[in-house]
Amino acid sequence: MIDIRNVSKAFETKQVLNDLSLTIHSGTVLGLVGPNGSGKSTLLRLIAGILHADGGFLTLDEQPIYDNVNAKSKIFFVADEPFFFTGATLKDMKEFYQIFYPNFSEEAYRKALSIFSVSENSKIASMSKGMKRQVTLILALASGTEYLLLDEAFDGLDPMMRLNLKRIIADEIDSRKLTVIISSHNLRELEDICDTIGFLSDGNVVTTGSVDELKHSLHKVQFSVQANIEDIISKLDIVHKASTGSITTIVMRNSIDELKVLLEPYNPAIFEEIPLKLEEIFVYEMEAKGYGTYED
Amino acid sequence: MKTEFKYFQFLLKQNKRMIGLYSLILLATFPLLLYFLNSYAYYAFYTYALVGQCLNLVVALLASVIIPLSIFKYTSSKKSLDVYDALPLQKETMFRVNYVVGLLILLIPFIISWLIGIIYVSSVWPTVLNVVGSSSYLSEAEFFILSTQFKHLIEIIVPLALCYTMTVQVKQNTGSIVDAAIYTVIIHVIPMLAYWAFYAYCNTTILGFADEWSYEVFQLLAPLVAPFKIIFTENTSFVSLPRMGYYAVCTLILFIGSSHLYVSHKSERCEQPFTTKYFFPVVSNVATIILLILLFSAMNADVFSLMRGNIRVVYPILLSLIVYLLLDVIAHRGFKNVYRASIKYLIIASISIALLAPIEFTNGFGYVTRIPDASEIESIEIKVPYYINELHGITSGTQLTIETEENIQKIVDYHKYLLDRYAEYDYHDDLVVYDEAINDYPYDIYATLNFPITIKYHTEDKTIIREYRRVPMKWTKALLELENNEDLINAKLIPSGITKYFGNPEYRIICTYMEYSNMYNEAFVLDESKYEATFDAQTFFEAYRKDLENHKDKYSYECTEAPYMRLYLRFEAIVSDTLLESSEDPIHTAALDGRYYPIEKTYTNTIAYLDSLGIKPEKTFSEKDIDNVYLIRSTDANPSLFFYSNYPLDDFSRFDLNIEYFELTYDDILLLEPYMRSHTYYDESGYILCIDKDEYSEDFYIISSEHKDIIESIIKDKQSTNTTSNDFLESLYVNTKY
Repeated sequence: MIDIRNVSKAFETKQVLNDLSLTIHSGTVLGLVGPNGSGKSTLLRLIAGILHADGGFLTLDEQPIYDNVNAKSKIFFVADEPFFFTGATLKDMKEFYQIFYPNFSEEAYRKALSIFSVSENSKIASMSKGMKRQVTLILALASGTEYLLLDEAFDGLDPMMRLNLKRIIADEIDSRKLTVIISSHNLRELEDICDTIGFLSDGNVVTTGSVDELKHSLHKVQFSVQANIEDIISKLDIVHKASTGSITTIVMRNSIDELKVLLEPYNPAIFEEIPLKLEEIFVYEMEAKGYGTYED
Repeated sequence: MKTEFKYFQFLLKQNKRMIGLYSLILLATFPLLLYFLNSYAYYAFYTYALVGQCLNLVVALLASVIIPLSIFKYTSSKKSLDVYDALPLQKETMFRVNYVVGLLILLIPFIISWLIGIIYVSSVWPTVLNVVGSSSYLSEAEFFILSTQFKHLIEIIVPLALCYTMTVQVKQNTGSIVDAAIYTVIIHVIPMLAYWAFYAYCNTTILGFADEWSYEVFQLLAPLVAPFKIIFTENTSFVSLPRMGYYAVCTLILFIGSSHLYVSHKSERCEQPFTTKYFFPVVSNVATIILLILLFSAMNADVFSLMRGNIRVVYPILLSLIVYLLLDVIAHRGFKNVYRASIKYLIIASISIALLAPIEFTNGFGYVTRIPDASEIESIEIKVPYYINELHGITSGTQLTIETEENIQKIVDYHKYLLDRYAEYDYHDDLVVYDEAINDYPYDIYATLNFPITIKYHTEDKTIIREYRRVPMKWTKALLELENNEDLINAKLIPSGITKYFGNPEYRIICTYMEYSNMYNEAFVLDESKYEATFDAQTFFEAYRKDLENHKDKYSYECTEAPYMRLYLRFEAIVSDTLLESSEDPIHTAALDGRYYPIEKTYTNTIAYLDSLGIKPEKTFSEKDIDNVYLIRSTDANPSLFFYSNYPLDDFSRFDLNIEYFELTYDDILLLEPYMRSHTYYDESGYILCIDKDEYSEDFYIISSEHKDIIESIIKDKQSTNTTSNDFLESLYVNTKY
């Protein structure tokens, strides 16, 4: 279990994480979502033990992480920009990581190699961005760690490889209770693989919960009534509202039944619940925080 | 196997190409170079060996920058640093492994190359000696002894490790490889410049400051220079433990500092020019202060002596400001910070000036006027102008060692006299250059010249106080009036190179070369095989000492008799057989030195000993040996040239005087012989007799103006030729040398 308590981190004068608290249970696949600069990568680098928190504490299985060999040997961090030695091949990089990760599995390495389309002896420098990403994922999966931190892991992967990665991660979770933390802008990918999603904004976790919980945290409804809409919905927790002619669309945190009760006296001509995708939930949550809103 | 050991192995494997290339370059520049040059010519072999070792050192010193930058290059990129920082290995361990691997990559190929080189050198050395065909003394011989070379190797490794650690330290403070390389060079240069600045400032500001430029201090401050100094100057087999300890402690301190910086590094700063807050401000401020002091010193130096007033202050400030701002612009990659940097500079310059001003206005905190009490002084080493020793009849060197009470008091009094003279002027100015009033007759020929005098006091409490003065010739006369006692007699006796072996039972002093010359003939080389067995150095020195002691009642410069002859002797200190047997050293000559011994007719003891060996100058002019004889006198109104000898015209490139000369005959010389002096001093201008000998030599004798009558009677019917001293000397050299 990773326990993050009141963690703060600033770079020079810029406060990136601010009193952030989060608990990640073993076997979880956590998707970290947030706008640019919200602190996703910083949070991952803190968990990986690369950065030292200015305040608060981070523990992994009740041990501090920073500069702690025991804790760090359970974590493999895949950065958004992969690094390889000059002129190195996948085999060279495997030799490097084998030194540091005692559970590095040759079997897992071979299995991952057979799934991804990468040659073991080719120079990594000559590979495409997607293939380089595959190289890091092969190494990460073979490292045998209990925690996998993937920063923009799907970036550059083709649809087939993305699917393969999801399958492998699912297998690993089943077989050895792997905990995965993935940061991504591609919410559709996270929706498929993650069981928990955390929304980050302004250096803190805005919302966290399972995908299902999040999907049910907001409701989008389209309706049409002959009455003053503002008076009716003023009692609701509205995240977004739009009107086109007599049709009003709202996104709210309340339940559908609460809205139905309010509208019933006005006999709505149209009442339709529109299912929300995770991506839309993210956008509405961010809008609610005032991020990226655009007033015409 | 532990993770760090596996990582250690990985790093070696990862850098195998660099190790191979580095090793190859090392081998090619020393052992292979010597092998392929394949020269058994002694000097060529010595030169090649030195060149090879220097090349090896240059390669290793470059490697001491390149290797750590290569090993730690991952700290320059956030991408790579994230990967390393995420690895389950403690940062301190990671640093240590990297450090050790880099150090081993630097040192092991160097040690192997050096060992192969020195084993080859010492194996070929006997062959070189055979080709030379002599066991005679070779000054560089110690260089080839294996123990010397091992000592060099040990002494070189430690400063090399320090150079490596300096680069590691700089890398922990800088972001990019280029910044690290630039600042490594700056960090190496700053201590050297600091010492230079100290030396230059004291020399140009504190009148009389004479702390000698110490290469020992310099190499301690500049580990880059240390290996070269070791191979060039330290041909002994004793390792200097204090020095090694100093380098080792410096290395350890820098290692601990670097380790701390590595552990506490912030990956978010890794792509900035400087990864720590204090490195750049400290380096740029220190460099600027040093530059400022150097520029102040330069402006105070003679070369700028005509520049007066505020320019001496304004220009150093202006130039150092420009350098400071340039450093700031490079560090901040732009001009945004220039205003703040200017303000900072003003603070730094103010502090520097505030620190320097008291030194200048208190005359170096009293250094200028400090003279130790004569009773506290054990001995004095004094370097005198060249003509002083010539006039004393000391034929080699410009140094005198004063140990007697009387002469110590005389030197102290002389020092006080100099201070009194200087007190009449401004201590801060190099006054003597400008003021002709203090260069009056009979020294006016040197009106624009000053002569250096260095006084080094060795006091009872073992402190050494040095004084350096440049004085006009007029102020040097007191140095001629030293008591003619043991101080001067010792200086005239045993050549300094063999002094320490004289009287030591483990060494024998033998004379291996001798020649003599007199006014009649050019030099005779005596058959050394004939005299080597019979000439006893001890007996000679005793006889010569007695003769010198007989003249104690006169000043040393007073030469009252005509010269008998001039003898040149070369001595060797030979290692005794016992010592030779117990040593592997095949060289049995410990030291060699020689000198001229002027012998006057009154030196009866010396003449008697030489007579007993059959060494007697021939008193017959040789047509073969002598081309011409000239009597010269000055036609200048103030002919100060002729006040001393024995080579009064020799420095003709400095002066050009109007003279007239007369050609004399052999009979004329015989008439003048009683009045000829090889070296002496007269207040009044006299005459010079020049005997122009066949090959490469001329003898000059001085004749006092008291003998004007006899001179005039000799030259009255002779034709005079007017010329200048330069033209005259040139014609002599053309006739004989070319």
